[in-house]
Amino acid sequence: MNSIAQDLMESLKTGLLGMGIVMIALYLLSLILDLMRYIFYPQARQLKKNEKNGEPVEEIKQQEPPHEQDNQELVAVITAALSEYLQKSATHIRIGSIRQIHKTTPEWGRAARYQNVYNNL
Amino acid sequence: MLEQIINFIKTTGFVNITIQQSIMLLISCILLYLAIVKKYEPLLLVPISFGMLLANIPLANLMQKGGFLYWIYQGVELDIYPPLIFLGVGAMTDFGPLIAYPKSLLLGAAAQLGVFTTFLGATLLGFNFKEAASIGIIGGADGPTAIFLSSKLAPHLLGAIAVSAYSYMALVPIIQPPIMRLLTTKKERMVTMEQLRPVSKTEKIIFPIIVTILASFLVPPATALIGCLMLGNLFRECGVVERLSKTAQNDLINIITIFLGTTVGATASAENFLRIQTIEILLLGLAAFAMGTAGGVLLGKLMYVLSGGKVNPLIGSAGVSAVPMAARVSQVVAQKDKPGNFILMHAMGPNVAGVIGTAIVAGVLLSLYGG
Repeated sequence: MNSIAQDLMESLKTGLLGMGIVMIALYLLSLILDLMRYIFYPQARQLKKNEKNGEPVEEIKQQEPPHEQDNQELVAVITAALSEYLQKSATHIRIGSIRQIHKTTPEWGRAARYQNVYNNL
Repeated sequence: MLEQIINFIKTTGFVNITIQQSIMLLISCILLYLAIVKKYEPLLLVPISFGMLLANIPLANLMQKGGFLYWIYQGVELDIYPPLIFLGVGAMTDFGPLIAYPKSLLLGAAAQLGVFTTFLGATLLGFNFKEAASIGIIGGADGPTAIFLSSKLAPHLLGAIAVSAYSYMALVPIIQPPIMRLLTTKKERMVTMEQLRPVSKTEKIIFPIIVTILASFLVPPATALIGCLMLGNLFRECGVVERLSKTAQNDLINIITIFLGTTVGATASAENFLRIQTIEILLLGLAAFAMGTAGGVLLGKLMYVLSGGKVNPLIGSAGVSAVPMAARVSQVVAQKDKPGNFILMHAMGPNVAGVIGTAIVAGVLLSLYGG
């Protein structure tokens, strides 16, 4: 019984020490990485300054293309392209809206879109 | 003539096989089936299970001194292979998501909870501290680290620990999602995280140097693992040694994987493997994975609260290493509740942090029990 209690205490001590060391080590590393962000990514400093001064963070405004209402020709072309790409009849495709996808979309953002298209979501 | 035939038959495996060896051959065939048909970590489970098969061929004695596998096994016993595997892993890993979101390092640390809770459980089941430390590290979900630590602290359990670690790594998509859903609300799972900032080349080059110095100063026994991981990464990021980077992430890691897998599997001889301890190790390994996942998700929840709902707690489960499978699981679970939500890159941060965290934990356990 005494031995079990001793083992339990030793295990708890090891657990606390181990978790403590790994937490401290990785926290220190995260602080260093934060510092690196301030040195090598000057935009971060600007954002922080704006936040402190209560100024709204400047957002990158992307120019919206002119609204293409009732552009039946464009709808027809996109429907035909999708029909070919998805190997589906055009009668089974309904175009809800058409929006330009900016080139600034990150790679994984585009990957998500492709995945949704493939899964027919 | 008849006597010669009888003598020959006596030297064949058919008349010398024991029941235990037959069981081991059956187990290795089942593992081969899982690896080839079910695709459970095939790159490692195929050599491991075939090594297991070779080690249990009667009279072959491949693992005895002078045997073919004995010499190759020296790379495991002398702790050469796991750091070399890490060299390749480092060359394949992009630490960009981690540098862009440094707080994900804490999630990689929290997921180490599984290691220490399992250490406690193993001690209570009667394993000594060295054995308990080797079993606990399964919770880090990092095969080379588990092998590195076990070969130093409990080489007799190496086969069971390696099989357990790699089997559960393959089962991450089955083990983790129920725990992730149990510990999070739908609202939390639907959080869309801010896009990560771009990371400069300079940061990516400085990162491996800083990590090596910091982690190795703190836990010197982890230097071989961390050092090789970061050297491989420096090869990748510095841009002037492309040949070395390609070799580390292709030819070298493949050759070492063959040596490591086959010889680790070959340690699973009938007398080492067919014990009640093996079943206990398999159960403890499962508990280690579950607790590691829970630890990461719970810290993720805390970060969700502290950040005002900006952090999706699902990225926490990726802290158990198992790169990149655990990050993919976070992504799949998140997309089930909100199609189009893409947290894969955010989950890669804790995922690669988990590799560093597990190596540090191995260093701590070696410092405490390696003497």
